[in-house]
Amino acid sequence: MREQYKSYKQTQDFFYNAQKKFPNIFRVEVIGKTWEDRDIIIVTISRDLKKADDKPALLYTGSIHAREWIGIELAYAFGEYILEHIEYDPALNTALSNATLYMVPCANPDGFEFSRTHFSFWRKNRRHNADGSYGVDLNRNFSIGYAASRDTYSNVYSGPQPFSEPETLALKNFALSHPNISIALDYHSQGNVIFPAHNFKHEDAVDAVDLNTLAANMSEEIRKVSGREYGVHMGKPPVRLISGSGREFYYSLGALALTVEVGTRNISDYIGNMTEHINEHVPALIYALVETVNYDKQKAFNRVENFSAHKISISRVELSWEYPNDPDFYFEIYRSSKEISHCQASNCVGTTKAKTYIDNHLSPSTSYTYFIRAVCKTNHVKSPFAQKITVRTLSDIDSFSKILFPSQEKIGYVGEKSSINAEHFGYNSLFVGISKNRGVCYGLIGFSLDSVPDNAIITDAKVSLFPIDRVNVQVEKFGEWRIGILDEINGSLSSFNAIKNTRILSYIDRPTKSHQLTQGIWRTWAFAKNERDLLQDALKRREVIFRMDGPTSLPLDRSSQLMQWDIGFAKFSGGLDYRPKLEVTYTVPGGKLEVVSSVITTISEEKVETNKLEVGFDKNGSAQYGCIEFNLDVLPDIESTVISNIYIEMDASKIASTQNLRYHVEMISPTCTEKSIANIQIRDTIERIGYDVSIEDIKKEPTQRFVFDTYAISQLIENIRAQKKLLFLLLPTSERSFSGSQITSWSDDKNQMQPRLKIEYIKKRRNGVQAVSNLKYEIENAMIKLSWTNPKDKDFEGVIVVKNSFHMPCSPYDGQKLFGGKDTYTFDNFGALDEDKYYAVYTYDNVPNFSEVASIFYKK
Amino acid sequence: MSTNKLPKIGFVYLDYVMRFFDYSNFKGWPEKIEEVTYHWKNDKDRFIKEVKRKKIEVLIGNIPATAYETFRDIAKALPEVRFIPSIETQFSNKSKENVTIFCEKHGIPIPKTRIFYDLAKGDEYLKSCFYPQIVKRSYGASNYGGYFVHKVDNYKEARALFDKKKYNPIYTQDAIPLKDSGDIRVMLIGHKPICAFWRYSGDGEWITNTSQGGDMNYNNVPMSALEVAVQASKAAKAEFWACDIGIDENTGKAYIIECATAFAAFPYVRDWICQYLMWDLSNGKFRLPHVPLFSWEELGKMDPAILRTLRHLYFSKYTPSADGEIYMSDTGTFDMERTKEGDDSILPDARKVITNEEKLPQSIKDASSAGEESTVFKDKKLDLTTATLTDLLSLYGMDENVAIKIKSLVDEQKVSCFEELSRYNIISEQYLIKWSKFFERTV
Repeated sequence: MREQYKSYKQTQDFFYNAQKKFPNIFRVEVIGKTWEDRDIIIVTISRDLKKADDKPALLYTGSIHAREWIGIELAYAFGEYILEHIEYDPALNTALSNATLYMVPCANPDGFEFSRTHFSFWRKNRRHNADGSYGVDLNRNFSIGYAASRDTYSNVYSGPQPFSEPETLALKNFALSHPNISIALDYHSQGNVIFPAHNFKHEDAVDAVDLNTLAANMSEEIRKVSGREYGVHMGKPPVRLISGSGREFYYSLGALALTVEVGTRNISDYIGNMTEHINEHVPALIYALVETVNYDKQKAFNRVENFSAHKISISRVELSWEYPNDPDFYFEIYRSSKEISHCQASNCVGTTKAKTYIDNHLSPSTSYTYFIRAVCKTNHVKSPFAQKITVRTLSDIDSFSKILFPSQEKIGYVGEKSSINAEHFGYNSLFVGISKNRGVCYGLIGFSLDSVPDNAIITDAKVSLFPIDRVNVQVEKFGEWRIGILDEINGSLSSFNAIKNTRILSYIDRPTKSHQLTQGIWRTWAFAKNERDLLQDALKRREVIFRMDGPTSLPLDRSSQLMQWDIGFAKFSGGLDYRPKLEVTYTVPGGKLEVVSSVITTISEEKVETNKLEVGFDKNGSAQYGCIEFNLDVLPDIESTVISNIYIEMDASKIASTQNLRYHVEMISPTCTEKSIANIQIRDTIERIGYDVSIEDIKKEPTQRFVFDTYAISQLIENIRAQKKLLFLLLPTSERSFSGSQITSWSDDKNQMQPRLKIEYIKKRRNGVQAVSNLKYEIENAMIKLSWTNPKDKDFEGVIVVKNSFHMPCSPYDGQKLFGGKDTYTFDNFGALDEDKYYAVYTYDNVPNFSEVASIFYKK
Repeated sequence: MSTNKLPKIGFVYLDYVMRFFDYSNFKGWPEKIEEVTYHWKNDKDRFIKEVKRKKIEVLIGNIPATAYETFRDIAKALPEVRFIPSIETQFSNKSKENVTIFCEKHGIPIPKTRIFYDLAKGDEYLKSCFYPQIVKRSYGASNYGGYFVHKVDNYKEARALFDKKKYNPIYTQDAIPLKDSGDIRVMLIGHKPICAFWRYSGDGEWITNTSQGGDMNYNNVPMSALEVAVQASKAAKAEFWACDIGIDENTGKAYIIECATAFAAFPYVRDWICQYLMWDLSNGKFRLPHVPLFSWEELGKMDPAILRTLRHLYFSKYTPSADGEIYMSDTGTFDMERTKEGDDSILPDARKVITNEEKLPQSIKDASSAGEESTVFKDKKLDLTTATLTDLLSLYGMDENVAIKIKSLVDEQKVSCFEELSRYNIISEQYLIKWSKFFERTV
């Protein structure tokens, strides 16, 4: 296998030859000497090399970890790609005209050669340490967050002091003397994941959105080539953060810095995997090169400010933002179902020059994240991204939605060979799959359904888990992960045999293949109808338990194929915001109500006659109208009721018409109490109800329905709320005049078949309960403690506390969730005291409807 | 020296100077060990004759600063005799100035230091330099505590000091802001740190000399201090070595403050040194002492009164068990070895120790003024046929096994120059290129 990979010498020779061939495009320089006297080279690639150092640049570093051969191999391959494409490819030429690529193919030549020739899985450099051991982990030897250590034999030994190694010193000096570097990519293996630089804090830095989006865009480029889905995972406390890495150093100099973990092995099958990795990463690399221009440290445009969402409804949301007035700029708005998402043409939902945008056609009970950037129309350079916003649309008119979380004792994994399975629950991450030491491992996630009413009719459901880590567990390209509803367990939840022998009633959705295990990005399984039915059955048991299965056999020559999922509890977890969740949308059986008309009136030129509804045209050809009144006082309390369907039903008794006239119903608000033809002719129509019907229709089916549409229902409710009187008019229309009267009677003499208003409704609050009061914060035990007073409303169900570093959250989902429940205080356990931030508290009822926001600004 | 025959070794002793080694340190050495004592005052020729008469091949012992120039002459007269430590290695022992010269030549970090024999130029410098400065007497016996080290905060203080002390040359260096107001003593054997500790000054003091009532702590010695010490030890090609190192509290960078082959050490440390020398002199036939890094933290928990009596400590190398399985392959039994009981004869007679420089015999004072202008040794390339194991270990990246292998190939006359080593698969091509620069080409 080794022979298929290039040596350091071959790589050096390749780039020196490229320089000879294209001296105006390639430049090779030595930036340092290793402990073993090898040259550390950097290759500068740009059109018009003389100006290379003035253009925004991408810094590429490879193989700083000796065994991670992708770095040097990809650099070589990208060099070849450029040689092959430079003479014709317009995209590449534009990129290299506007930007510069600095490539250190191998930042650890000694270690790489040691790995290549002797010890394949060597990681460090080849420093001879004071105790006779060898090597410093170069990616722990940079100054930012450097953590001194003295375990020289450790694979992550950080060296005696920051920049003690010639390799890191060379990179430091180069980076410091090249302020034009705007993006830095450090190529590693393995894990199919991109790690953006972190700021060692729980709160995002202002450019976290750019880092995450750049990573997601690169991963989208990869997906286009191979279908492989890369994760994007920015480290945050309490998860242990990497210190002293090159990434944070370049980031500290103002570059967007990312670590790219390629593939599933450090040294992978060249033909089987490595060629694919190279092919999928070349476009990603070009994407990043193009983006350098948008992040030029000297000239980057302002990002959009105060991006915000308003009037969030079932299906639409209004967005607004601020930007300096400049006719040269327009805006691109991107929408995604994920908080970390690519922003490309495929999900650009709108462009506008205005500073507002309305996004229609959204699905109910669904979370959406919006991104926006300004674009200069003259040079096509784009601004960094504004701070993203996340909203969740309201549940459908007759629906409720619940996001359920497992309780701590109901989430854990059981391993075939583990003797402490019970201890995993609520403590360890979910390890799912198989390993030599643990045997087959199943993940178990139990949700109580107590908060879903017995009579709920589940209309939609999905279950989501957060893939917390695949790098450390080294998931190979093998196997698939499925989640299924478990039958009633005959034994304990923590008994491996009981769990193994319990039947899976059905797996949910499609399995997740190993190449879809996106570390840092949620995986969601949506229920199909037959799967929802099983959840409906589980509702009777008041609990549903999911089992996650992974592969049950090991790939050749591997001792583990376990994936690690966050449980959202205890010390190995990212916390509440990463807890598995089951989203359930449901409705409840509704009530039906029939309101018979209280008054019916026929109004014509000649007379106003009650108790009759004879509508059409009289012998003079003048229209004769029907007027129907209902007593709406009998409706249930409108604030706690929603109407799912409403229609007027009436019967035609005598049809004295042969002409092709049509009838329709209008809902009007009467301008005065007097019923007269004059008042009808100047009527104020709110909306037509349903469709018009023809004589033919009536002859076929004398009982006719006029169904309210969404607007008509809302207007009906508005008027009831405002205690305004409503009238319904039955009107005839014709496209030409008649001879002779054309009257249809919609009433009978005995008043047995009166028009009736039929209403289907469910009990559901229309508005949230009151907001919390007395929201305040204090510092307790070096943590920010928030406290508030809950409202006393009987329908109060709880509060959601959300934190956002940049703006007042515009929804309960716009930021990091800190708490959900009935308490009157919470701690921001991991929040940094030295960062400004906004906290928002929303109360909710059982729908949920959210209250107005109660918010507070934390000033550092 | 062939591998079969052990060299004849002798101790260098000097009147009025404490003996660092004696026979007890060389436990297990089968041959007789000679002694040669230098009596000062025109004793050079007699000393040389005695070495020759006793057919001594290796002379072991530190030369005090005051006798350094004399022993340079003695070494020249005895070209076949190996001095341990070599006269070149002991260069730094002679004066502070030599420490500075040594470090600057080898790129070892030291605080910025200026030395002026022209006192007027020195005065100019003192007017313009940054303060505080550390002023030291460059020459003279160094074993008398910190009495010749001074901190000055401004020119006025500096001027007053030099007016009073009449030091020549003016030796002054930038005072680095010391982390934790202390420095670190690191002792090395065969370029490996075997003991290190922080030395803290007493309250309000800034000189870190434990003999003047400071405090010491074996914990939390940073790797940067050890690495700098190794760098210096290798540069000096020292069999054993000690450095005092300051850590800049602002940057965390380590700087050499003092370094020498002469230092005070507990008997067990001297045992280790001699175990190492036995390994070197036997070309690897005796066992190389293994002292785990940071083992001093554990030993340092003992009362110094106990530490002073510990002798002949051995550590084994840790062999990790595979995958948590325990293999009981060790079927032999072992008994505690009997060691010679320590006796007072190895400790200096307190009544005989001269602690005041003024009380030294005139001959010693005279010797100290010899050769005050330091000269730098020329870069001498190694000759593979005569290189010692310590010489080989001074190469970057060399380890014991490779050094012994090279040495045995030389002794078996299979190779006579470095290039010929490429025929034997013992080092990588890259190291062959790197190391060959330090050897003479004899082909």
